[in-house]
Amino acid sequence: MGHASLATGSHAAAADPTAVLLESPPLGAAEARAYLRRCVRIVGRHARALTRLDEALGDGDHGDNLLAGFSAVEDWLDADGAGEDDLSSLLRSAGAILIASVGGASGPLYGSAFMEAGFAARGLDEQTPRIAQLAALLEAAAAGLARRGHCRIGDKTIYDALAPATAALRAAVARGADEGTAIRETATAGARGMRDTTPLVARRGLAMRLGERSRGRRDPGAASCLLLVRALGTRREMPGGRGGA
Amino acid sequence: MPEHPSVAAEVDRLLAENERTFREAQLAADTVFAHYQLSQLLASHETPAALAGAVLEELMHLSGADGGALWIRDPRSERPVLAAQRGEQPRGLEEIPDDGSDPSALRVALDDGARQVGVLVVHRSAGVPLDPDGVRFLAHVRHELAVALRGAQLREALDLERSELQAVFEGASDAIVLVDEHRRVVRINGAAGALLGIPRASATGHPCEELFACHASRSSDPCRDGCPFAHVIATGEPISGHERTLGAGVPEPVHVVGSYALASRSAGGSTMAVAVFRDTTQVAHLQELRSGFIATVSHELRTPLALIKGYVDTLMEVELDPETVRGYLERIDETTERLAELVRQTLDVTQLAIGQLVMERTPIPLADLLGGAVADLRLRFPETAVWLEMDESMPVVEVDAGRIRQVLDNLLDNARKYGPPEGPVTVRGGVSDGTARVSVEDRGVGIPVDERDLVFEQFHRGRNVRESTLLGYGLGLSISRRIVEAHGGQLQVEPSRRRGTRMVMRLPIPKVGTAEGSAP
Repeated sequence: MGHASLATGSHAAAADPTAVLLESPPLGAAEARAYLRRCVRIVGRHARALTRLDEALGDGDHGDNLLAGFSAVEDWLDADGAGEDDLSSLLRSAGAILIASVGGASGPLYGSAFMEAGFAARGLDEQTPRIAQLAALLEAAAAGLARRGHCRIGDKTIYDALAPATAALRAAVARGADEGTAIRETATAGARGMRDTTPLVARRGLAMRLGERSRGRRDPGAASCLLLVRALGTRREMPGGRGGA
Repeated sequence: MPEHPSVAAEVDRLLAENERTFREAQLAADTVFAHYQLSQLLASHETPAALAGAVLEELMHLSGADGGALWIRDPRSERPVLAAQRGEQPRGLEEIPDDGSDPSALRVALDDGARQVGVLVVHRSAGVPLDPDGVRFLAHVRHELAVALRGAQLREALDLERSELQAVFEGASDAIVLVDEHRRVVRINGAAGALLGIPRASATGHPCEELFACHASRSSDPCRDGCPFAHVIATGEPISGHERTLGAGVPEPVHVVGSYALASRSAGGSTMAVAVFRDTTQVAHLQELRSGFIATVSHELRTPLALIKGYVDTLMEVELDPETVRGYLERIDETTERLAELVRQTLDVTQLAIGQLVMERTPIPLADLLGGAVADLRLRFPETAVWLEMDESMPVVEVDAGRIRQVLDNLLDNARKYGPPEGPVTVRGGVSDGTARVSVEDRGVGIPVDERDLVFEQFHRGRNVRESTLLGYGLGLSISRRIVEAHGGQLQVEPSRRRGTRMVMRLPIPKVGTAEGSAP
């Protein structure tokens, strides 16, 4: 197993990466902090592309909105959130900031996902391997997002990338895959889910108004979701080496 | 240490309370988000039909329905029109209760506070109840929905009206110019662009005096001194029948009659004025032509009439020898012929000018027409040599034989009249470039090169024959060209190899075959 992305924070210096699953401590605020900073960078790199996708289906501001939201999260991490050492509080605060600062529907949706992950973090079993803990958080995030957005797979939304990514992570955990493999498979499944939104007719969100005209275009929400999934790993861990941060 | 039972119960109660509050907050947040999603759709400025479809799907989704329909009242007929439908409609509209008594179906009247805009129905098959949260939400947003649908209807009506007005604006043959309160051009239509000879896009934003080249047309400051736009903007009073010349200083200025009026005066103080110009250059030209025509015809009529009057007076008052009397009578006869010819040609010109040239086209061998015209000329003027050359295969043309014969007679007469008395007049017939071609050539004074097009103008006579004793009204070729053009052909002066004139007439050949030419 390679350099474990989840350990990029305070545990980044683990001497023996192969021992991570057995010996690494539970997920903590430091990992979440590092993850959020990777999100800022990856969204920043792809903001224009997201906005271009959104110009066809939505109101053409998805990349800019998301970047504004994650930048606000980073500002908080640098200031008031600098001392936050509780994973649950950190994720919930990040969710609240996203809800307040990301325009459009994606703010409440991603915000709900982070907040649900934060609520789920309170009940994490410290004895569980970290990758399984991550799977639990991602599942909570996906369920929260689906509930808030009333979305199902095939609706051409964020959820079309998030649901298969979550399922792939859970499957990898069940199989006993190492962290790097599990995260790569998660990103691969998310990418497939995003690509699968192209032939779909939008059933949720602003793109609904386009009806059949929404067919043939990639959903910007699914695309941004894939970025956030890829940010779970480092650039080296991602298929093709383009993801992560 | 064991926990005290009352403490444990209190903890459980607080946890349950916490859980309940959390769920309520979640539900409230869900409703707010659903409202937000719906508002986004409602604000998406779609057509009523697209909006109805998207909104129906959204509300079906939120209420867990698997079918539904949305009717919108048509503003013209006042009747509800089905705007969107998803799934099967299991029952008639009236059978679905609107009071929530049927948990699996709901009918909601959409009213915007003033009137009912539409009706929404959602239902779920097999008696499965609808999602109560979704149903509550639906009832909650029905006014908002009605307002949005009504707005979409108004927007659609406005768009339609705007596109109709745009079509009128663009399609108008009159030039339309819209200026703001500073008399800067806001918009011009295609006819205005063509009239002023400027690309439409480049006109926008320029002061109107630039567009109309007002400074070139007047010595004083045209913007302060009687600018009709300024008057309309200042007073609000419309101006009509305002004549002016546009593009003064350019080779072909345009005479226009304009109407000026306020286009809008908004509460914010923004004012626009519109001018509609009709190009009267053609009308003025026609007027000029008509005056000239009347003057010329009057003159041409008066001269022979004076001659006849003179001879008749002399014959009545003076005793003359029989030979002189005969000579006078012959001149009166000749002059009367000329008068009759002038009247005939004048009638032709009048008919041509008002587009009433009636033609009866029939297929006829061109050789027959040509042969007949040449034979007549030879009969009338035996001293003039007339040579006729025709191709072996002469075409059949579909023409008004009388009119084309009139053209041929005119060309042959001219050739004889302006050529030497002995001739020759050379007539050639054949096919050239797929058209029937007839040329008539003389060895006379010819037409100056710079007058070759002018000879077809009414009353034009070449400067080299104007002062001669040769009679003519300058109408024959004008009439002939109109007749030939009315047949889809051409009549032109072509350079002649020798001195003299060569007139060439081309007529289209119908697709049917050719007739053998007859030798003269």
